[in-house]
Amino acid sequence: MTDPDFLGLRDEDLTDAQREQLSSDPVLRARHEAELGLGAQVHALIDRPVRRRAPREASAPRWPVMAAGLAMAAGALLTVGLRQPASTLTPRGMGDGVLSVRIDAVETTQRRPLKGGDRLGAGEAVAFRVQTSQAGTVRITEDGGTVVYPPSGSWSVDAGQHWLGGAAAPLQWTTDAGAGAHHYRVELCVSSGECVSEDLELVWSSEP
Amino acid sequence: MTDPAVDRSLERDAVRGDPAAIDALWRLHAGAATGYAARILGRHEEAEEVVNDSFLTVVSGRAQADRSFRSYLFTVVHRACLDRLRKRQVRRRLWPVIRAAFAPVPGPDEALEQASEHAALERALLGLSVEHRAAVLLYYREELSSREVAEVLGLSDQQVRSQLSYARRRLRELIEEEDV
Repeated sequence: MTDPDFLGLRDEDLTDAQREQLSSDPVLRARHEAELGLGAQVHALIDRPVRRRAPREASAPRWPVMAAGLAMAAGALLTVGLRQPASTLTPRGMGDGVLSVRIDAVETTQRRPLKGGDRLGAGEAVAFRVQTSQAGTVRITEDGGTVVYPPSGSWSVDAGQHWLGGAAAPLQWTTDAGAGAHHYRVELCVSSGECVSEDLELVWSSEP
Repeated sequence: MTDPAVDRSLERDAVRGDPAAIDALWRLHAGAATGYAARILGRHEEAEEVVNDSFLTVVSGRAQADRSFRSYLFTVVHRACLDRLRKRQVRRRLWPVIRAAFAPVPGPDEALEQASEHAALERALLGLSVEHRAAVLLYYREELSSREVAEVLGLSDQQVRSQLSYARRRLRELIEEEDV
């Protein structure tokens, strides 16, 4: 005899009559729970971390398109940040009223701090960090114009240090544009309309 | 599971271009959607592409106010997966790829045993047809209701129940075959 097809369904998907049938038939109930148990095993399967891509710019297909992902080790990244030399975190003019912005990056697998001109292997990922002297809106572009972040709208920040995607889970970025030097520009604009920017060049290798 | 009310609020902000809301929706749903796509496609990297594209489609062109964000996202992801599968048709060769993708990490005995069970279940899932695998994953892994699964797969509620019933039976057979 074939089992009724409501066995293994969650309670919210059962009718009152089906619930009644289950409660009055212990054998059927046992089979139902065994089916739910199999479903619970499926539910417990483990997913891998996932990377996120920035939207493609149809108007500039030759420009690098970066892939972003949720960082797996936000705490570790923050630790790296704290270990970085203070000079990379203290832009000129910070704290003295001069408008300024800085950008640097950390390679996320080995947690290697990156400076302008540093090389990355193919497939390596970075997390970007921005330091602003005043509150304002920030935008990151690559190779002369393609907007990397935010994907739309504006990113409002206070004065201080900020990870793209948030300190709790910084976004990881990698390029699928191929080998070569790529330029990333951070621009800070404040309420007075004044803007300031800084560039960071990273060199991506064709080798891992 | 996520709160549909929270989703709706985030979605409204995301459609207006609020990056924080877009990020929040991504964090809430991308992992599950990618896990689902990876198990349908058998390739994690391809699943990431599918989910990235689907996510942008859903966030930028959302006009399905009568449906939950989660259900709509899975519908778009599922269709994109089917498109990809149609283009390649190498389904039976995929399982070693996904076995590698979900390979257990060495650890204590208990963790290894659990990982081994997970790996066996992953392989058994890949022994199901795409339609049955999708039903099982959406209902049990993603905890969509049978009605939502029906919406995603374009089936009736009754058809989904039949699919689930057959899929569980076949899943047990495949697990037992591997144990022999």
